[in-house]
Amino acid sequence: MKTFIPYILGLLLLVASPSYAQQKTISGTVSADDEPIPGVSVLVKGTSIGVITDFDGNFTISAKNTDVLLFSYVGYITKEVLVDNQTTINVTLEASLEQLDEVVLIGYGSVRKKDLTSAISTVKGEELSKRVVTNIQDALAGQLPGVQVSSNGGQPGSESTITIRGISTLSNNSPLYVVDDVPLEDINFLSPQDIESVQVLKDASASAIFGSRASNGVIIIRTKQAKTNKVNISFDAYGGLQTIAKEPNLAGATEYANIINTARLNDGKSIIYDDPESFGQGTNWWNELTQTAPIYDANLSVSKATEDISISSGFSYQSQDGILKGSDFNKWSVRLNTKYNIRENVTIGENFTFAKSNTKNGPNSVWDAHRLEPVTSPYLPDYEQEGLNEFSIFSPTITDVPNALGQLARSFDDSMHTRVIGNFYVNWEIIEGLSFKSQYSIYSSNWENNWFAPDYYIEETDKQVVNSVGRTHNNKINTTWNNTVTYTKEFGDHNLTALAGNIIEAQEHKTLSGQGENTPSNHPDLRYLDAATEAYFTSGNTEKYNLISYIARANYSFKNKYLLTATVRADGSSLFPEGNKWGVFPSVSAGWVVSDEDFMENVSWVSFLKARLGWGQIGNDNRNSIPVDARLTTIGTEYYTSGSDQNILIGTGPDNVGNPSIKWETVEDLNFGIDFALFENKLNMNFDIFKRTTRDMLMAKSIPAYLGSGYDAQWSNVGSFETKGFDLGVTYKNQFNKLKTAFTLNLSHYKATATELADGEAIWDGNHQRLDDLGYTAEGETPGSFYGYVTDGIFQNKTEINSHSDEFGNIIQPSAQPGDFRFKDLNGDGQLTDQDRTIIGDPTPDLSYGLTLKFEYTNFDLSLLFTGKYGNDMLNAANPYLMSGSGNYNSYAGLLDKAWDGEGSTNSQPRLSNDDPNQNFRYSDYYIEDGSFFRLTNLQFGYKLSDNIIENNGLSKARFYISGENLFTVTSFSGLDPDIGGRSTLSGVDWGHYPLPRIINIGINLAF
Amino acid sequence: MKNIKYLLFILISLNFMSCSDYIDNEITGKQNLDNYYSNYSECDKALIGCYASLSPQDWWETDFFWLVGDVCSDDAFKGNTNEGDQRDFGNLANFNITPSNEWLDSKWRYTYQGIFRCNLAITRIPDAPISVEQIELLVAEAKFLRAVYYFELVKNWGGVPLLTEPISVSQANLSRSTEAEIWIQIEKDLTESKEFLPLKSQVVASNIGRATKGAAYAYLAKAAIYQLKYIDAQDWANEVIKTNEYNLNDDFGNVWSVSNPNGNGSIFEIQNSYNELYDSGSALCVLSRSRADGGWGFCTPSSNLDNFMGDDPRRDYTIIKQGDYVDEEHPSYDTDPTQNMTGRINRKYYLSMDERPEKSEHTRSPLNHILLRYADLLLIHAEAAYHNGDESVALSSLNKVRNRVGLNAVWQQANN
Repeated sequence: MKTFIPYILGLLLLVASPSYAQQKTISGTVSADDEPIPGVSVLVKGTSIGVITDFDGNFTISAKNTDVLLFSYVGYITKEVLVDNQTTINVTLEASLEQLDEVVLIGYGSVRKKDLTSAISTVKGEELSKRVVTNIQDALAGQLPGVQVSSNGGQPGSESTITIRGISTLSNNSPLYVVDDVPLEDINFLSPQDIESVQVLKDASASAIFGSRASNGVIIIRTKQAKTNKVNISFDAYGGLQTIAKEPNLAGATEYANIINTARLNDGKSIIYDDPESFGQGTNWWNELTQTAPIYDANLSVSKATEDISISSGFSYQSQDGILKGSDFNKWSVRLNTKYNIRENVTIGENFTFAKSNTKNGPNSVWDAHRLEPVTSPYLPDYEQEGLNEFSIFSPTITDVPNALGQLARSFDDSMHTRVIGNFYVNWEIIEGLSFKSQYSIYSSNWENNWFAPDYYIEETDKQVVNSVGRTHNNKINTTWNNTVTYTKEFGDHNLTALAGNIIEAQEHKTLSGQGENTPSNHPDLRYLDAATEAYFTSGNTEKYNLISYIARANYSFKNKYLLTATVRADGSSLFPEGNKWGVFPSVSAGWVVSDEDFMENVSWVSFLKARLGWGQIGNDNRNSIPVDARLTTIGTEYYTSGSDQNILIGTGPDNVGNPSIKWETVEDLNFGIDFALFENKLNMNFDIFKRTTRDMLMAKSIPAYLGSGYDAQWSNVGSFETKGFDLGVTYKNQFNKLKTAFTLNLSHYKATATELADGEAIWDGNHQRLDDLGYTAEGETPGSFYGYVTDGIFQNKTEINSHSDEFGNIIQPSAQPGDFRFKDLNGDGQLTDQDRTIIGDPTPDLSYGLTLKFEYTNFDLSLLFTGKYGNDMLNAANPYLMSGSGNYNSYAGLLDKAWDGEGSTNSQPRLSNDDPNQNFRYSDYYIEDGSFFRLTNLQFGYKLSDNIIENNGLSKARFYISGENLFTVTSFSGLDPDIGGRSTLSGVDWGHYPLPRIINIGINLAF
Repeated sequence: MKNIKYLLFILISLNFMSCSDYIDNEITGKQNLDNYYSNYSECDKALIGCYASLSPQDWWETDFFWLVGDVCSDDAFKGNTNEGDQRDFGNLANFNITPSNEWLDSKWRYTYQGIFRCNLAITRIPDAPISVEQIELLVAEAKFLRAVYYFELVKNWGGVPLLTEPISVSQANLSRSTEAEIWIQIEKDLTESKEFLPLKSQVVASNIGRATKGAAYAYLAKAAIYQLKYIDAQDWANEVIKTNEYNLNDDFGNVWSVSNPNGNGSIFEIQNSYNELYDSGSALCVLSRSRADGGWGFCTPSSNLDNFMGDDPRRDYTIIKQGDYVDEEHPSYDTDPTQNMTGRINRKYYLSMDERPEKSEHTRSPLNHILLRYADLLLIHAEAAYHNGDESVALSSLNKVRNRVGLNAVWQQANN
């Protein structure tokens, strides 16, 4: 009987369905993460009946009990639900691991990730907001393959340098930033919490659409837009403490005195310090100059979207004190983005941000703290301070390094930076598939700096007789007006999107600065120009720059499998003389979605495979590196004297060497890439290999001195550069029961070569007081290489010195003594000259990488970010002072024991000597160190309160977390921080780099 | 709705009509060479620029090089004992001269800077809308200065690239001319310029220190004697003497005083002054003063010179020895013997405390630098006359110089 019942029921159903095959009305709501989703497609499977969920995620559809409803939406796993006898079906969609339907911004438009033909990497804003940083660039470190972020120091308010795929030119290598379609050079008004996504356009085929500003790559940032119809309020805040991550290990006063004495004895002179032991530890300058400092941040954002209007607003505040005393930074900003559909086919919107930051610019005392002698106390004895002004109570120092605490006390330098960034746009869908967008944007920046230098006397070489005061005001207003027309058409298997447009840019930079001397006293109320009484000096100018561009692009795809994109851009720049103003920059790229081919159908473990090839040419007018007047010879001021009164005369003389044929620099690159997703999208990989060539590179070409321009050089298009490399991004996501994991690895490698330089002459950069120039850029070599002598052990005795000779018996180093370095006579001429130098190091890493590990288990989440570099050489510019024992500077602890003091004692550290007749401490491979490092850059451990607890309090999300920045670094570099950038002709040198702090903080994320 | 559509159409079309002079910007805040030399003031300022290359802003540009002649001879040593301090200067003193020596580099560059400016003036000023007399005088000054600059080059390097007009970077493929060709150009410039230069007494008070006819004759004499052309040397030197513009009335101790600029015996000197804002002064005072007295201790007189001068009345005004009385604030001078190679300091660039500038002393000392003075010219005259067989004339000039400081005259050998 029991078995009969289902059978009978089934029969009944069978009988019942055709005749009772009633269409009924099904309604319901589709949501995800407890938020209703508009625009979800609801289809009756196997039919063409379908609807879209409305703004509240509701839908109504007509279907039969036997029908299956398909719910699909971009970014979510399509769900199938049997109608059965339900009339209300509520569906929750789950986010899809498949990222391919994600929309990627490509400049004046967007495409699906699947249809991309260029090399573009993306990162979500939420990854960036985990970082405890005061500048956006730092937040991008390790997140994107091919993007290198090098720190310019941990000074509060400092901004890091970003390079994309290494360096491409000798001048400025910064990429272009585009924020909400507005091209900008400065993005530090943004907070990480404002950002929804960041996309990096790495190859020319992607960035050609941005023309002349994009030769170093483009970083596109989209700020958060309102999404849902509920009022969404979120509040995020954190507070923490910064400490020194690594302390220098410096000699104490006793060791210092012994080192000085030993050096003098080695020179045949008498000792200076009779009783080194009596000093004890002496002054620890590092401790005097550093401190533990707080950092905190708060963010509030409110957004709401309805069908017609959406508003997103935010407020944020951030404050950071410096771990070196005397510097601090704070910033607050306000943001308001709105969008309004005034008609069904016309949308207008605006994005507006106001940001104000205040920086107290303290002295960078790192180098001084290393070199100052510990035998000197910071302050004069009390009885000697009598009658001195507050800036003169410091002890004179033995070396030429001024008393660092005195320098700290005298530091009065504040900057205020106010920025207003806004854009207004109109988007008009003229007819179906044809739309027009016009956007006008303004970037307005006001920078003010006030400084005061008090009068003081510490010693003859550290004094200022009269005080001086100054103020600078610089205004920048950059406006951009872009108009684009886009046409999209689908006909059969063909899909075409075409874009045409023009862009007009204007930049105006106004400068004004004034200074004066001798205010009545050093009192804070008198630190203004009005109080100065003499030596007034002012300067000011207005510089303008204009650019007109025309762009066109076509995206074509056949069966969504074969993709082709072509762009062309023409730019006219005001920097170049008549005849050279315009440049045309084309690009083309193609893609093949291999996984959609029939032959790939049975390869189930490959969910997606695409191959891409792109080529493009971009111009660079180096607007931020070359002076506006590079094309003309300008006149500057000169001074002489004459007359029985010996009065000063103002004269003139040529100020530069103009180049009337200066023109665009062209960057051309070729990129091949593969994207694939395996194992049902659990494993995603993007691999790109590229070659980039820069031609007509703008360089300051040195000209024969007999032309009479002193040291002035002429900007000419005479160089060329080549960079080759690859970048790789791997993501693995999985879920094991309740444990969700996501791992991401980014790897980049590049090698740059200066293939042609002006007159084949090498360029030197980075003048060091003791080593001359550090960075060597030569034709056919890596720019910024280290170039010097090659050591070959230490002479242990006189015999070794004599046997270091050439075949004719000429002693190569006749002034050497046992304990001195042996240097190689590379050209074999029997003498040690500057011809015996060679490339001794390369600051370019073999690999730069970032590794993110994320874990989520019920309410707990843990994420770790590791960053690092491998295979780069570095130079600690403090070593010539701190490892030589000469010149009264302090040394690293242990130098006394390490130094050679007898035959066989060591083969790597020369004898201590002040005179150093052998010049042991000249620029040689002795200073080159391995700068590879592995760092735990960020760790965040959080706990989310469960829904049932928070809902009672009106919250939709409450999360608490503890996080750390720069927690540990594994490196063998002797400086304080191996993460040091630089510029194309000089990098990897620690000049007393302000180290990055270690930060531990706690925070909350709340949403209402 | 239609209105909005039309508005948008207008916007779109306006856009595509952007003018091309939108991307034509003028250079702001500075003049440029193309339209310069358009009035007298600009031409005069250009000349001042030519003079300014004699004493550029910073000490390392050419101030330091003036000391090279002394340290390369046995009159002086490099100065301070720290080998690493200005190593290249020490190398010059030891005749360890390499092409990478920074002092040679600076002197070369800034001397040619002077020549370039003079060439610009000589080529462009004749086309300026100013009077013929003004053109003649300005061009004459520029030619005089060009000769002085080439003199510096030929003295130190012999034959060098010879430019008499400004050339562009693309035309720059010159090689060294011969020493003789340079001398010819120097003499040509001096000869042409002397026609229009005023005598020292004719120069208006505000222009004192600029080129004079007497200076042109004096340089011709000096150029001749360097080339061992004794007849010409004696003739030119005689021209200077005949002008009666110069004498030795100044006390020897006052010749180099900062309060005696362009004195009675001064034929041509580099003018320096102190200014709060601009570095229009000299660095030689700080460069050569004792390290114990706020100086850098370079070019210290040798014991050779000291012993040679012996009890010559001029010795105390030339050399300061350890312990000497110099002035009220320095009754027993400290030449910082531990850091001073010779224990002596050059007196001729010494400024007393109240003569030293208050701010940025090292590039602003107001002490002028004498390049050619009457006593030197008289000795040139004497040497040339002697080689021409005119011993009595030679002795007459020599004794004028000795007489000034009270030394006994030297008689003709025949009378001994």
